[in-house]
Amino acid sequence: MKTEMNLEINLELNETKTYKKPLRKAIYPYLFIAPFSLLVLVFFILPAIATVGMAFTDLNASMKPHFVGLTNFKRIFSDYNLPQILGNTAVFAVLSLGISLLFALVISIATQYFLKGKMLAVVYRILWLIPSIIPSVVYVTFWKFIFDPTEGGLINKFLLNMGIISDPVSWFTKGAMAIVILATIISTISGGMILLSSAINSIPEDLYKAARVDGASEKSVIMKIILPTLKWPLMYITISDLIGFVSSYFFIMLLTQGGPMRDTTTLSLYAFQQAFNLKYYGYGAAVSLIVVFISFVLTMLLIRMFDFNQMIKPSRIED
Amino acid sequence: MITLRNIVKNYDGKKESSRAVDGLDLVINKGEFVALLGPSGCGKTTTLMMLAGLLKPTSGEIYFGDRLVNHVEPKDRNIGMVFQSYALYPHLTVRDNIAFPLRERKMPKAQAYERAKEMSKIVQIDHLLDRKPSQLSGGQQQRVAMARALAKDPEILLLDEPMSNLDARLKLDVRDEIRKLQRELGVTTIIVTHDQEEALAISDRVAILNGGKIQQYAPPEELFSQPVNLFVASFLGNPPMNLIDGVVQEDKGVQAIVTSGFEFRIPEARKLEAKHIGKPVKLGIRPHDLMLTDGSDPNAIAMKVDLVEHLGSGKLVKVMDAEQKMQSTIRFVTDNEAPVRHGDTIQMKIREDKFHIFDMTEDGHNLMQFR
Amino acid sequence: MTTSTLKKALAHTYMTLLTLPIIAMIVWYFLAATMNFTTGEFSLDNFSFFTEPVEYSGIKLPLIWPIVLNTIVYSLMIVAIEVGISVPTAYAFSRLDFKGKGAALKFLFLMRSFPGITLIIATFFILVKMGLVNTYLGVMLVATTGSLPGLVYIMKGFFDEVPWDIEWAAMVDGTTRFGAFKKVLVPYVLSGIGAISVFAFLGAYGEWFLFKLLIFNDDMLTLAGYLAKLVTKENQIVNYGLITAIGLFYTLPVVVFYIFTQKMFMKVNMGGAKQS
Repeated sequence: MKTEMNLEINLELNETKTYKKPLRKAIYPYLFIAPFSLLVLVFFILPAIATVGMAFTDLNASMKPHFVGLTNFKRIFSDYNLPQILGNTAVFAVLSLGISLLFALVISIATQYFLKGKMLAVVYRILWLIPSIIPSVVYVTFWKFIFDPTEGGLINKFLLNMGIISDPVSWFTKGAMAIVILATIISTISGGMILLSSAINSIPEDLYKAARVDGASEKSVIMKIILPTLKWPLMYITISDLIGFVSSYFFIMLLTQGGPMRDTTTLSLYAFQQAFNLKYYGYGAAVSLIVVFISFVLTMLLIRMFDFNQMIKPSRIED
Repeated sequence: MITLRNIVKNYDGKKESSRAVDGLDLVINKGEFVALLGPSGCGKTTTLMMLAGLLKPTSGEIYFGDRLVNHVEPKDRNIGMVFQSYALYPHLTVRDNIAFPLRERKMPKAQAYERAKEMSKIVQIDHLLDRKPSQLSGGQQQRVAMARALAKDPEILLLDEPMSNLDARLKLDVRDEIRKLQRELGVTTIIVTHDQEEALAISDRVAILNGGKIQQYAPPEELFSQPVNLFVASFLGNPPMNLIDGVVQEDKGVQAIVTSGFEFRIPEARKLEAKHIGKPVKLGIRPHDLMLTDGSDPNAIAMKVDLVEHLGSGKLVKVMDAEQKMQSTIRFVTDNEAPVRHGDTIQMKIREDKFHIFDMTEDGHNLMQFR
Repeated sequence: MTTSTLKKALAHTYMTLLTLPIIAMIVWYFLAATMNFTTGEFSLDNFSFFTEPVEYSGIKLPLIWPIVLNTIVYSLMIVAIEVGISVPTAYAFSRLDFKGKGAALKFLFLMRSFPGITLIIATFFILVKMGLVNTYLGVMLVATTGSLPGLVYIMKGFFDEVPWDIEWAAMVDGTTRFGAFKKVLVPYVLSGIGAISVFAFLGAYGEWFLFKLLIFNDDMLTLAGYLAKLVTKENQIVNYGLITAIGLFYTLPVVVFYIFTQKMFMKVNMGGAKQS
């Protein structure tokens, strides 16, 4: 306390213009972001650089990496699995996105417009959120059970009892991709539903009243009032879900592990398998670099949608 | 005594476009009650924030007594402050809110609570000490904010629009109470407000700000009767001052302002300097300084009544010159009994010593100022 | 019957039909866990995992109680670490000025959308180099880095809503900037801290992938990793009774908890997204 007072008196003598911020004030903000920055540096920036580096080596189980130039990338393009895997990735991402978006839209409009304020509407929404709340390991067992290839599976049991089939059908062999997509959709819907619901909820009630006074049909209320409001949320969900579908493989891993054969292997799962099952770390990194690139492009698109100036507000206290 | 010397404040470092305060000088005496009055964006709140130490001036000096405080922390300035929103801490009870500044000074809890109780009695909220701010009415919250600001016995009390969230009737009561309290405690007080009635009623001196500069700093009655420029003249007063374009002319030693609607003879005692003759000026007359007269008066101006509004205490009459050559209408106030009706032609005159003439410079200096 | 009640009835019908699979799913979990499939009778045989270690088709897993303890300890530690880091970080992003804040905020946003999972191969080697493979610390560091951007972003939204008046008042009343943070801002955003705690907890509670990848000792698993071991087996004959019984034991607390706190989830918005 005493020394601070002395400091101030000295400052007075030294003219105000030469005032220098005390060190503790200058570093104050950085102390708050330091732990976060450190984590990001070590577990995000460093891995990103390392991924790029590893993609140019032949790092494998022997743990003796050599620089191999573009060999890994040349190998990717001659990899006979690649056409199928790219196809899988596209089918998985596009179908999952399209269908889950449609459902999210229907549920939001139904619960926030047609059934607005009804107790049941809340119940519906809570129920729809459950698949995304249930830990994924538990969630997938339901789908495994429904499509179980033995007589014990739900669909098989049902069809056998009805006499439609005489032997249990191995659903995972025939339609693994469809099952994966179905499971993914059901648990993805809720994310879009929350955003769309809150967007619809923000439409002022007066707008509906005005439309009704003008004699608008329900169809035109939806087309002309609700959908335009949802433009930005829909774009946001589209891109962020796409990023998720392209890069994550948790459900696939839990449900089919990419099989049968490579029927449900997407690009990102392929990279994981190359690295951790076959120990071709260098090659795996090269494949994942493609995923990184796609994710990065999509993320940039997402960032362009945001108004950062609105988010960055200067402090209103100065020191 | 508080001294602000040539204060400049740019919000964005060196960018002049972000300038909020532009070379402000102000001296406030110990125990004085001063209002900073102006339209929004005039720099009054910024000035208050710099006094509080929450913002730092880009250049210039602030002295409390003879201590330079430019870079002194708010906590080391010994100030109390009441905010427009009251800014009570929602998670603390009224008692803890009032005791907060005392506890920050390491006052023992029992003593701080004792003092909180004392303060709450002064502002008559001692029955609410255990409530949370959200359970109080606006007026009660305002009192808590006052008690909190005064609890630590500050040298300076800063009030940022403290009454703008109160309803009209309550405002009058609170205004009187604040003034009384301030007199009793003798605390130097600075209030920021956009409400001229409030500023004029409560303070010893009022500083009128516009564009980050002080336009005039004077006691209320002087501001009203001797506005230094067009801004102060037109900002103060409700209904606002009439401003009529005209030209100064002199004929046989008699000066007059000639407007497109009428001619106003300047009384001998208030004649303008010769250099103004032939120049365009604005003639300013407050609505209360126009009165009805009859046609025999040599100074009478014939006007046509355009509109009559009842104010309750009187009538506000809007008139135009008979030939409608003037751009603007003139407002004047008359008593309820005056027989004025829409469409009438009336005779009115300007009170001889109650008019102002402004030159056409950017600031619009009052040429009557030193008469 | 008016058209609007007809419409409502229709909407209800559609919604009920749509929601049926989910209801079926919930019902099935309870049935599968509490029914003997061969006899079709009610039985609690599947819950024998409470008292004896799980062992079936060649997999031997430890007794569940230490695993439950692991789960609770791990999840609570994650909550503590993630809240402990994201609150100050969000405060700095929302309320302080520092060089590079704009760029850092953009980077934060990029991280939030960019899946860290794509970098998992390199992350694995960094952990190997640091000697953090097969340790909780390693899992926690990676998991925390992954979820922090989202939590910081949500928390920043809460700090953005604190009126400046409150912070000014605190500083005039004698606190330092940090004192205002500690004594006034943090109590003000308590509901936000509650929300991110729930998110952090749910994330940690459901984490199985990092345990599968980074933890090799079965007795270090958490419930999610434990279940993942049972679910992702090569042969497809699955003991549903056992898995659903453990799954129910594992899931029920969070779902109940979630239903009581779901308002918090609805409150979190898109933040800086352009509106219309």
